[in-house]
Amino acid sequence: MKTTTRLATLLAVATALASTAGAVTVTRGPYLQMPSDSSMTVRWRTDAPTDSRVSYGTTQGVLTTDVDDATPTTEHEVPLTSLTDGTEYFYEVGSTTGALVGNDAAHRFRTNPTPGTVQPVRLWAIGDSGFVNPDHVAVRDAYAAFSTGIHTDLLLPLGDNAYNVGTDAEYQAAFFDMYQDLLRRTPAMPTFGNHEAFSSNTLTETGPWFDMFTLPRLGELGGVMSGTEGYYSFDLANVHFIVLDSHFSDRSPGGTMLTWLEDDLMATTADWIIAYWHHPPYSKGLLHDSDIENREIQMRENALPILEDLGVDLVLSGHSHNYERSNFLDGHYGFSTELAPSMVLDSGDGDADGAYRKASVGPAAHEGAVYVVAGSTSDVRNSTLNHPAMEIGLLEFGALVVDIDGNELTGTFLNDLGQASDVFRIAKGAPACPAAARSGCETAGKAKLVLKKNTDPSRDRFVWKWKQGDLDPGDVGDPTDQTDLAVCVYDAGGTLLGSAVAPSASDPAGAWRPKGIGFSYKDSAAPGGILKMRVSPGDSASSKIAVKGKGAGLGLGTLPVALPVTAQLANLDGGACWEAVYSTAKRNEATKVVAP
Amino acid sequence: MGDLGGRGVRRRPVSVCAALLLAALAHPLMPRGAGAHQDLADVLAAHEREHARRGSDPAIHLEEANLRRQARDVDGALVAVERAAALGAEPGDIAIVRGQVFLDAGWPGAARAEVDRALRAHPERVHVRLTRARAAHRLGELTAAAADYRAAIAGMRSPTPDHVVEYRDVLLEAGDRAGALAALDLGMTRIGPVPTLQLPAIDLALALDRDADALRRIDALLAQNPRNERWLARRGEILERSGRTDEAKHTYGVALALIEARPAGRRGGRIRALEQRLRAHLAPTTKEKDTP
Repeated sequence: MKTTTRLATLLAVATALASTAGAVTVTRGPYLQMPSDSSMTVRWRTDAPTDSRVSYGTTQGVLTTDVDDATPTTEHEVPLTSLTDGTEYFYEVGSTTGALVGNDAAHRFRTNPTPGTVQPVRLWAIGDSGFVNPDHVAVRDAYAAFSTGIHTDLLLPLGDNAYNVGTDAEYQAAFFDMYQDLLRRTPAMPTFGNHEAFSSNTLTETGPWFDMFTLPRLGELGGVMSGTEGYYSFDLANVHFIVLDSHFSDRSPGGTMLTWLEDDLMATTADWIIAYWHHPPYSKGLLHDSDIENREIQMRENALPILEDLGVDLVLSGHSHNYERSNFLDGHYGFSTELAPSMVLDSGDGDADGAYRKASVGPAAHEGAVYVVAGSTSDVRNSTLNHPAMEIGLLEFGALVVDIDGNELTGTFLNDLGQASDVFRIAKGAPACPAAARSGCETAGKAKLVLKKNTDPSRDRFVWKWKQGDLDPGDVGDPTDQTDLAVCVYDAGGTLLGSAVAPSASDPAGAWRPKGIGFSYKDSAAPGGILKMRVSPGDSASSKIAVKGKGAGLGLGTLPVALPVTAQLANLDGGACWEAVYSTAKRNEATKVVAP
Repeated sequence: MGDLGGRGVRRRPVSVCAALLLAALAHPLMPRGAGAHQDLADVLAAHEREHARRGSDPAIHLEEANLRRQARDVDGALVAVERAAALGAEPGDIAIVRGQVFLDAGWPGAARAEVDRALRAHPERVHVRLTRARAAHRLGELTAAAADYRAAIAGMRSPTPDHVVEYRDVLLEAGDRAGALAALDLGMTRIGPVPTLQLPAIDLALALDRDADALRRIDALLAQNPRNERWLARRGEILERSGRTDEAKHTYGVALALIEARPAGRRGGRIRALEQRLRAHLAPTTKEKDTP
């Protein structure tokens, strides 16, 4: 492999372009593999052997660096190294005698940020996508529309991504041709399905699946080296990914795969852990019952205890041609009939009634995980879908979108009609005010804010009254069940000046009670800053919010404040909020603010 | 949606045939693995459709034999092999597939005879030596098995840790611990210093009283990740066994400090068990307690 600057070879390339361009055609790709914060591997196939060249740069049309491989081949594989983290690159592929495709807006990639960086991450998981049919095309196009303007960091093929037996030709049609646009700019990190097993073997690492993918076996992308491409791990931003082989590899405790899994999980410090493999630990899909199939049983019995003990957040699988999504689970390693209520840490829907919440930020033992079967990207098979661990089952074409932003993960099952048929969220850490004030809040006819600052923060005080506004009970949610409410005060610069959280009754600290058609909260210890709160839904004539807070939990900043100051009540599990904006204050002093 | 509540299932209408199939599948006598076999049945059905297009190609019949082998359909697999042979399939290819079918069927002697034939025709097909190694192992011919494992691991493009562990197990069964350690080293030469091979190599080095070698190996692992508490604990145990008690205690202390630095949520059962192990190592012995 040789890297040169474009200036040094410009003349030679121009000559070569003139003489040979068009003689060779790209028949697969280009597609991206092995993403890291400093590298990316570009692969493509040509219909005749040539040497390989990738030219790249950070400006479209100005590709300043060439990387060459002199070996003539039709299977081109060029690793680009020494890249800058979190940077978008444009590229083209070809040979030293001429470029073939690229150097346009469609051919670009983004390097990962430095591992551990907190930034939004978007994943798309496709399962059992091996049929080429209009439904599959509709799923793909629905996602393309859904993700317009949003970079997809990774494509996660969950196995059985080319029917019937995962041959090279089948992969060409169902994967490389189907996802050509996406694969030019988004790396794919696949797992191995039972249909791939008809033509490839993870134990010998032979067959078309191993020929077409370049995967990390030596911890190149983060994680502990597995020594095989059959199962591996990698990091992206603040997420650690585990990819297991549920088909051929030894699934027994003490076997090499699960021994590696334990070492790998113990080493990670990422905020989020996502694991995926083909055979679902929980499913009642047609012909794929996790109470019957050995692989599903063994993965559940042997892999899940390790994963949950070391902090997994989300587990993705395919195999069953449907969508199933679990409750927030922990410790369910037996048959479906053995699911006990204590294993369901949150029986809510994970969305409208509040996100599933893990108290710890970062990997945490046995704080709950969501299990998703996303195997309906190209086929749907009727089934009972009556596994009791599941919150929802859908007989719809679609695939799973996963968004991670800071301490919140959102899963969206996007169907072939572009509808979000299921949404769930997992939030980490204590509920807290958003860093910036929300927009579009309901306003009040009348509202009063009092802030008192003391040299001893335990004696700080906060009072807020809001009334004569629209306070829909549906927007408030149910804090006696899942909904976390917070009062948040922002100064003129949008900085959070103080906050107070009243966690839902699902939290041990929650102290909510029903009160009329609304709710009241009372906690004399005020650990989250709130002493009392009363939320009375209604129309502008009857609605009312009254909050009293105290203590260091308020995190009250320095007074006086820069006006206007904004006070909001936010439903932290939904988007609803109620606010008052104060442009004037009766008092605005170092010890007390009264507005208006 | 189940007993614990949920939002239920949204579905398209189930046809009568599908309903009958569902009812059959829900039967308690439905065997484990039935779903996997159905996948295979689907694949075979598609394969048979392919026969119409490529029926005279012996390769498709060998593919079918392999599919039937995976379905444990020994008779069907052998019939497909015979069809391939009748169509002029290359004898070495036939012997390879037939050998695998025989091995999976539990006939290691017949399997080895076939694979011998295949390797005589194609000695360069080094992965076939894995099949022969497994056949020899089942026949109790451990030396022959080890030789084939060694050749396969040395020659394969991508041997995996599982191959190396199989090779090690054969040598351990033969009572050859030093050979087993060398097998793991061969594997690491080919694959890389993966923990799944280095950790058992450490166990073997200690069993052979090669403490310095064990220490070198755990240090090599720790060079990959100096903050791995479990590997640090193992290092401490090796040092302690070597009589380097002070260094051992220091290493245990480092590991324990790393565990204590973990947030509470990151201390699950495995971490707590390791913590207890470290604390037990750090607890003063009776002799130490008696020392004024």
